[in-house]
Amino acid sequence: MRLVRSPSEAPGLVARFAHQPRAWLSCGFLGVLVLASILAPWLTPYDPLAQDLSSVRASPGAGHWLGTDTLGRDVLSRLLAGGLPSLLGVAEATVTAAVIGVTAGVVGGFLGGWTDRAIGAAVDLLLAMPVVIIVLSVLAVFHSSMPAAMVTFGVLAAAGISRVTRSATLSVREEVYVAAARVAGVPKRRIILRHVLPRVAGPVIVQLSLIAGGALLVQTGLSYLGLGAQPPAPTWGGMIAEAAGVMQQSPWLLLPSGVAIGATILAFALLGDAIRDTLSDHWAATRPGSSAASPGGGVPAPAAPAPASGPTPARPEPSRSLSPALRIEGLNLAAGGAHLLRDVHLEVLPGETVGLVGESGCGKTMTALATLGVLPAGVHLTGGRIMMDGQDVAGGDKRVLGRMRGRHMAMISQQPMTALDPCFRVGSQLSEAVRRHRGISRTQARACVIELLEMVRLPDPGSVARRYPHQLSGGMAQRVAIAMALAGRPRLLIADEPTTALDVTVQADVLDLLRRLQQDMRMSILLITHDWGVVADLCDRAVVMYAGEVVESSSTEELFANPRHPYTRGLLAANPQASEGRRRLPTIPGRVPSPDRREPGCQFAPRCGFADSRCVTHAIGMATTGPGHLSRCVHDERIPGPKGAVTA
Amino acid sequence: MISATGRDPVSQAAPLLQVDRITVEYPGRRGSGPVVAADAVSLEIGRGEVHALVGESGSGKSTVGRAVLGLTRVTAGTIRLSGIDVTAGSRRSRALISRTVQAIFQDPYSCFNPTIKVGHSLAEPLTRGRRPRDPGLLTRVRQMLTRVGLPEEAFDRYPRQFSGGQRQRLAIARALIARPALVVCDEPVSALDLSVQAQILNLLADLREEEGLSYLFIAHNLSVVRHLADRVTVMYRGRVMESGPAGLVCREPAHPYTRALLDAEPVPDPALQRARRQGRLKAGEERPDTSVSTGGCSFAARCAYRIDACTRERPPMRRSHAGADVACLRQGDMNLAGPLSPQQCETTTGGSGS
Amino acid sequence: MLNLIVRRAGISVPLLLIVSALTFVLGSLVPGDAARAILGVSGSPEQYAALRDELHLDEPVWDQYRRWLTGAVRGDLGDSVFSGEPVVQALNARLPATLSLVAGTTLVCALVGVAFGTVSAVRGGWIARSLDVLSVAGLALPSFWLALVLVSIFSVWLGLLPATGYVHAGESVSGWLRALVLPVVALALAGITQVARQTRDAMLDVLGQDFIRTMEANGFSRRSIVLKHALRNAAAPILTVLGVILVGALSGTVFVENVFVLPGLGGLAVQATQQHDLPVIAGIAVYFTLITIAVNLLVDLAYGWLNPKVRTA
Repeated sequence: MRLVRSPSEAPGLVARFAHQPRAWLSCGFLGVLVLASILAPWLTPYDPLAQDLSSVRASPGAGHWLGTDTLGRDVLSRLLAGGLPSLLGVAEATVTAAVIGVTAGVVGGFLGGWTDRAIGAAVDLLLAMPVVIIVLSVLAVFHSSMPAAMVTFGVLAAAGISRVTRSATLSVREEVYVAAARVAGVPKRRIILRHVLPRVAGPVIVQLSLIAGGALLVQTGLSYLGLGAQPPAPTWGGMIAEAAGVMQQSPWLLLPSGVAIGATILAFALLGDAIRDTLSDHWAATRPGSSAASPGGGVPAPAAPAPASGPTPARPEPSRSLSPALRIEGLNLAAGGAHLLRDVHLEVLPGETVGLVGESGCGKTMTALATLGVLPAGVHLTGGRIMMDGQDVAGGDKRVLGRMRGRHMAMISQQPMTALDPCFRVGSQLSEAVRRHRGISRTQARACVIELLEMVRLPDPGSVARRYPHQLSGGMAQRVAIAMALAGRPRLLIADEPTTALDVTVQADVLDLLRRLQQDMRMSILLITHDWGVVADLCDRAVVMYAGEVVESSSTEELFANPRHPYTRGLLAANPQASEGRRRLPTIPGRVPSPDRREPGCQFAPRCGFADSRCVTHAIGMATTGPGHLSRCVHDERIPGPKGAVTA
Repeated sequence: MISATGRDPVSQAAPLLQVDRITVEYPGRRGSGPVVAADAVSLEIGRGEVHALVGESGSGKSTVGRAVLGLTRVTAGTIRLSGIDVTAGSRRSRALISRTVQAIFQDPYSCFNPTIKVGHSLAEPLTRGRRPRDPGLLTRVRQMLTRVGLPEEAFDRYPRQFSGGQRQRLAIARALIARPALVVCDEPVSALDLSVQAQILNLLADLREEEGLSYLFIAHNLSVVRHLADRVTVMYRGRVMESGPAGLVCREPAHPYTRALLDAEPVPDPALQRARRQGRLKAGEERPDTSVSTGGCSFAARCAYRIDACTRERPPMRRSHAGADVACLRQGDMNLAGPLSPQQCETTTGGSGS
Repeated sequence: MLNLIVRRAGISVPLLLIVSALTFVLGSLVPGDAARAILGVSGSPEQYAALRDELHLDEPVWDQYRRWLTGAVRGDLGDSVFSGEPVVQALNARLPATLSLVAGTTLVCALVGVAFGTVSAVRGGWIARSLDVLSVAGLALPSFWLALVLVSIFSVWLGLLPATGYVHAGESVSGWLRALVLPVVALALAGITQVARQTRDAMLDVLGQDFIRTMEANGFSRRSIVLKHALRNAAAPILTVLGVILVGALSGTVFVENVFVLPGLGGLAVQATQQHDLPVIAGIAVYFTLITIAVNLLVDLAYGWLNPKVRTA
């Protein structure tokens, strides 16, 4: 079995970190700064306290690289000498915040209960405290001791760290693998160390880098105010205060210390971001769907689809008199080097329900999104036409497509609970749709909203209109989503897995509703599904897709009775419902190839029992195997007919 | 080499798992009472038996699974493993649970810590979270990988390098590595594609036969469990509606809810599905009647066979003459012969695509 | 909703107690006391003892605090040991400048930040990239340093705006505005970039959600999708950041008021620290805490107003 190819097989954490310019930039800067600060007594060209009244406020030059201040002291020397106390202060604050904050956050988040509540109360208290005033008081008490002030700052900042850690811990705690570890009998302490801490590191490090910057800001601010180390000791903040006094004569003096502070804080922030990105890259899990849109990266683009050749090359014959509600011709989609869709043909006649069937990653949803003109970023059309109302909406004017959406075609999606704006009442959202599509007043729209909600058979439409989406059940939300799609009286409804997220009894109701609406409104439906039962229930015709290609299309009855493509046959047989009373289910070995690994010939050949040399050399075209029945397979004569079927 | 013989010989007589009238309550929103996720649920699993727990969302099926795993505190009732009470959630019972029971969860994408090599995750039930060092143990993990159809190199990979189906194989490997007697499978194939789903179901069936495992198989509809389970328990809103031999429950459901669940599943045969649909619609659309109080049967509000008593009395569990336990007041006096069942599919059309 | 208000109010009482007690206890540990500070080195031991007695400095800290607390409950925060002025009076006189500064900063951050962030989310490209650069710059520059640079450019060099001083809005609105421009800009720059970044991230997150795609696919206008639906859904995290910025600006006044010599609470805090003027420090701590509590309450209320799940719960 082949493993998923992934970039992680090459570089480790460190290499990945070092790969980012900002990582080595910030590390380099901070490294030089730390070294220079530690070695300052030996590095400084002049004594930072030595006054030279003969050359006050000298401009930068050969003798004094950064010039001299109002007492003739060398600016560079003072800057270097002020570095160590600044960095030590930052370290004190950051370490304090990290130790207290992370401990409190992890313990509270993981244990929950009263521990969590007590820590939460303390955090609330700390967060509402006037930080600078408290720090000022501490400075007053401890003889202007900057370490004391910085540790106090760290304690106060720990509240923020604790919050971030706690919320990260809470989300990790809900992960299935933590439950799995508990089931495996791993003790709590070790679960925290092994499973929780590494995962919360990212957000905590970012927050710590901000606190380091904040500590430096507060510290230099306090020195600027003359609190903390007293003159003539060099501090970065004190240097700004000295420069402020002679701002009119030499504004230049503001720059060295200001830039030093800014650059250091910048380096902290960049380092934090770089570490976070390294960690999250390293651990990101690829879910299906997310990979479909991501470019294949570094894979040579497959050759353009060769002209179709097969036993009887054929196109779906538009023998029917009515103009189709949707006609997709030779649609190609690509993302980076990956071919997501190849030469897709599809036709939906008025009043017809067409099922688009296949497993995830086969291009069903991409076909729908392309039709609606709402492709994700990075995915683009590389060929073909999408005809609607006699106009090509794919290549043409974006405004044409904009006018089509909602009025000519509409969509309902898989997750009813997330398909509605959670911030607005159902009525308000429906009213907006109705007003936009029908150009009517707000008051007229209200009646239309009630009418729409009645149409989707929701009891008590008035009360439903006043509700927010979170007050609806899944089934109700899907009905509202359908009502919204119907607001512009579309000719074509694109339904992307409309019942997959619903319970089976609710699914039956929604399918009934769709069937009734379609009959009443003479609407066409393009139904995307992976459920053969749903296809059998609702569809007139079915189109099977595999790896970005249409592999078979026919009437539903014909498809179930006499599937011609080996993939269709395998998929039908794998359905646990169809294989009653058998211990083992027939399976298709392997899995759907990723979009950047498309074969030159038949995409299904590597998993197919019929495959031979003919399948892999050149592109296979759709061939007619019966009236209205097309299949993309060169082995049609070897595939048994309706009776005595054999699994592929 | 991995066999059933190495297991605890403690009280082979008692059933492997006895769940006796457990109730699980979660604290509700302020002002309202606690949410009852499971309400006096009982079930029993013998050695080598597959017991399916079926219900829609909110039925409490996963809650029962989590209770058996010791992940959820039980408000009332007892859970026994081989006759030993493990309800209290003490350290000792925790240890017994993790020796005897393991789990496979629904979401293959979050069931492994992405920061840890899968080999180390797999060893977790043996090492209790320590880094595995013992060479014998490492060999065992590698053998387990082979056993679930993955290459041995998988040991040193990270979870994100695997597809959904492969991760579910890994999850199975982790569950079986400590040689449990019972595996709680919480919707293990719901998130998978059809062709992969069949592969995983077959793997589970094979392992069960070879290892003599028992499964508590949680699912949201009957079609997946029909050919895998020995017994089926159907739940609705925290309560058991019907429980009995899988074949019997699927063929002759004795509870209106089981009937509704079976009827609602579309079958992959257009002609048969049309007939079933018409039958279902003729039987009358079930409109949830929200005025019905929940004092009695929890299904009463949606039930087409409701009588007045259903809204007042909680139906007791009674054994039907065919051998299923049914919680329905009208058990025996209804005609539940609904539209054609999927079983008749085989006889009427000779199956499809097979 | 009511629950939330009660909880906030409930936490504010212990919070005020703790904050004031903390400043008091810390203050009492200060080496050198107010009497010494008032008299300077020249005062005789007798004068010193008399003044200590008058100021109750010989009592234990606990008694001093209790005395202060009894007054505080009645709205009397004591007198400044340095000027003898009632603390409440002194603070109230300085409240307008600080509030103008903080409110102005928050307003500027909200308007500019949200506009910038939204455009950056919708357009992307160079706007997004320049936002990235600016946001780190905004984070990195100390506000008092920025204030000095602004002064040297706009006051010293160009002579456009006053370098120091404050005009009450009652006297001259234009003078008030002119006096506030530079301090507000100095305080707001970091906030603007924070708000803009948060807005962009939140908007990108919302714009990628299912319901936005559904709306697009069902023909809602782009304008309504972005400005009405997406912005409303992205509002909560933006609001959080604004609350944090407001509280941060309060701390920033300590530094910035010093640069512009504004008669505000921040400047007073520094002065009081240097003079060991305990009642004034405690008073300022109480004022700052009260403002923080009020801001948090407002943010919570706004959450409820924005999020129907909270409101209807």
